[in-house]
Amino acid sequence: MTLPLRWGRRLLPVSAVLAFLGLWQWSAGHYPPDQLPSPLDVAAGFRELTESGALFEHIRISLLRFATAYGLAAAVAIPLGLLLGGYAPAGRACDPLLQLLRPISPIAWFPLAVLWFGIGNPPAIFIIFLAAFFPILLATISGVRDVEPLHLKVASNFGAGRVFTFVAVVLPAAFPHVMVGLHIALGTAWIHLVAGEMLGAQSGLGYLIVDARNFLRTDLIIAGMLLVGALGLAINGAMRRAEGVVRRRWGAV
Amino acid sequence: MGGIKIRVDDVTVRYVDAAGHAHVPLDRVSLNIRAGEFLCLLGPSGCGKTTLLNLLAGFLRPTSGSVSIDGAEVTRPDPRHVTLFQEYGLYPWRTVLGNVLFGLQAQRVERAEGERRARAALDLVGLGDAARRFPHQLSGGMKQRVALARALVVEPDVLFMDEPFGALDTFTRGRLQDELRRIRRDRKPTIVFVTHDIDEAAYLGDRVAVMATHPGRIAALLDFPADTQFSRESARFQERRAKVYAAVREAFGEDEPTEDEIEPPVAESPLQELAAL
Repeated sequence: MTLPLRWGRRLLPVSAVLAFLGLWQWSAGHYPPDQLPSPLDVAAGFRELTESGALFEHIRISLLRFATAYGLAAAVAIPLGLLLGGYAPAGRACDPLLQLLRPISPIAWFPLAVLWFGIGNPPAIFIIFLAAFFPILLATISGVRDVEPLHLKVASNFGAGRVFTFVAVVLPAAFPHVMVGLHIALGTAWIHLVAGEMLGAQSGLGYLIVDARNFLRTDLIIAGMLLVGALGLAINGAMRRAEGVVRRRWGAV
Repeated sequence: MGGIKIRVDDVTVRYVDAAGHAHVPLDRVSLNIRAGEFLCLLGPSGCGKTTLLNLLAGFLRPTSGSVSIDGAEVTRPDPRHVTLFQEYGLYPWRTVLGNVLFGLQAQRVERAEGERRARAALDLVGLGDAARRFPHQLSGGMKQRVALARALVVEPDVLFMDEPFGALDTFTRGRLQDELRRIRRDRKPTIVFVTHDIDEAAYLGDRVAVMATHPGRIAALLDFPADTQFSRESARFQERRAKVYAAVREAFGEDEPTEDEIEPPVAESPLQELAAL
């Protein structure tokens, strides 16, 4: 028996999810719910969260922090990247420093984040900012440096000045690279959202998970985790669509 | 024909590569190019023809000797002398019209005036209907037409062309060669055209400089009567081809350039095969 291709394509991931849920449900039967709640327990916990309305407040706060930190990172990293990529001496000067700071996980900044910013919003924003900053910065620098020499040659031939060349050639040429950096940063920043919100924040999805742990509500921990995953998936999908628009507009470079 | 437009005086380009080997892409080249003439630089890869063009266009400075246009030494690129490249150099994020407008915007030509001129240039190369399209939606031949319109719109008095039709199929190349002839009749720019295609040089050039390798130099300079009327089927073209081919053979002696270095004069071109019948 053969199914239409479209059905086959849907069926495969759906059956994988069902198998995973089945395995989970079966495993949960062997452990106390405090250690491993079943999918049904988690669904019940999720309903509890939505009914109280607290969940939406947590989501709103998390998205707000995320947008603030991510926006700040883009606002600092893109101009800085344009400067370091476009002005060779600045790039050469800062390169070793960047290479040194880049491999340090935002998690390693935790103690400093708390010392400098206390608890609540600022340290969380700081951690998310760090996670987004480097991917955007490095992509912007390479975008500016990778401008096709021929494109610059043509600009110089037409007598284009430095400012016009920068605005009309370098910026648009670097733009698709910047988009790639923004996309990567979206992923890393979202991953660090939960971590950042574990630093003494009193709200948000990270706090929700920590708080649930304090009350040994394992079902709520897992509900929070799945929610983080689902929101990340949605944000990433939106970003991919935006990137697709840019790619088409830029002739799929 | 007017007086001397471009003067190349005893120019040498020498450099040492990273491995410490000395290279001499151009060795003591002197050449005068007349105003309004069509000069072809013909030779295999490595003969310095593109290096010479880059010197004329101001993208490169000679190690010794000098290049001057209209009596002024060439030290940098100049919008009065526009170069066309084999890879077009179009901006993929700009529409066809936007690409043609580029040079005008760089020179701060007023917008309405610029658009009028850009549309006229697109009409000239037969792309009036493609103004709103993007480069990636165009064929190679259309892209080179856009590049040509972008060059012509700033009304340059010299066109430097670096194997501009090298990436195009024979039919497209033939059509663009004919259009270049037509545009030349209308606008009368001085054209320096780099090619490794003997037929192309014989069809387009008033003069053909045959270049040789190691070191790069001009081995022969063929002077034909200025004529843009003859067809590829004419005896006159056959005669020109034979002369260019003989000069190439002489320049390289028995040590003929290998297949990948220079395109054979016959074959490849269906237009040629038709002409030979």
